[in-house]
Amino acid sequence: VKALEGTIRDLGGKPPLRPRANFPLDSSEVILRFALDIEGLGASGYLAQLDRIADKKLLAAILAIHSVEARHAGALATFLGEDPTPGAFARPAFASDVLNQLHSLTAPG
Amino acid sequence: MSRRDPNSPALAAVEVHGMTRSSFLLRGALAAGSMYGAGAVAPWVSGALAQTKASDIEVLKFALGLEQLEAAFYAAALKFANLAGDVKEIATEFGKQEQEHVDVLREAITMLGGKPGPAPKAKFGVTDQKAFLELAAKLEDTGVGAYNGALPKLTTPDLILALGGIVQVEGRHAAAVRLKAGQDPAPRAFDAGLSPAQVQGAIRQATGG
Repeated sequence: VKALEGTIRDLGGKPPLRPRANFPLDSSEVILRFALDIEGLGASGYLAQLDRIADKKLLAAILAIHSVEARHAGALATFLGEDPTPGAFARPAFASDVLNQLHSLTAPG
Repeated sequence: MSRRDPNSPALAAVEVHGMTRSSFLLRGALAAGSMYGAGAVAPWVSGALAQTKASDIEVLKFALGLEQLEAAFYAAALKFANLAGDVKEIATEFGKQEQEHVDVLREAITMLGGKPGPAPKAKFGVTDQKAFLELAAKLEDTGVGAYNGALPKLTTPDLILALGGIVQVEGRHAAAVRLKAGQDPAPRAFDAGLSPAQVQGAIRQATGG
């Protein structure tokens, strides 16, 4: 988060306010599944932006984050005894869909 | 291991929009390649990637070499490393996925007018599960760094997206085998890109070759 906020400022932009959210965390399995959804969504969201980034340094930075999100999702799925991959090719998810999904996962109850 | 989309079930229903026709076609091609074999990919990719530059083909050939090495590694491990249980299951699944990457990359290189290189020769010497997991972690970590270093060199947006979909799977493989090996699945907050020379060095060191 700090790296992205710094990069946005370096590029002359203003980072958005950090979101407020309710996290439904009442058992360890629920926590792991929630984390898996969030990390999977994060990975798919970064993936969808990769072909739109003209600045090669920024692309390198986003790639460095994207694969860590992928690691988190893969590790959480492995913990839960589930398939750590979505098949041989991961699919992108576009920004508006990611925001909608995040909103429905974290909507204040 | 149950089949569940790790992208979350909700994501499966997410509409894909706002993308170019060619990236839609390429996506379709990759999906068809993984479902029906690489031969099914040909009619789509040739149209989608007609504008590809020679330097992009070199990146694809670099990726192909890496995937061939990984596919050969999982095949060797399944033969010689006495794998059992969920580790065997992982090796089977990941090996199949690396082979799908090999098939799609070979197909794409050929259709773009390039010549896919032969599989690199390597000996892995893994004879037990522990050695398998440790070498798998090193190779998958190297794969992630290799793709992260190579993708910014690509000039064709559709290829960036397609290879991005592959590196994400490499990252997931890396995390799973690291976890099984008792290692931190994500040892760093950022996976830095590696140069081709760094990749070759890491592979030489890992395989003792």
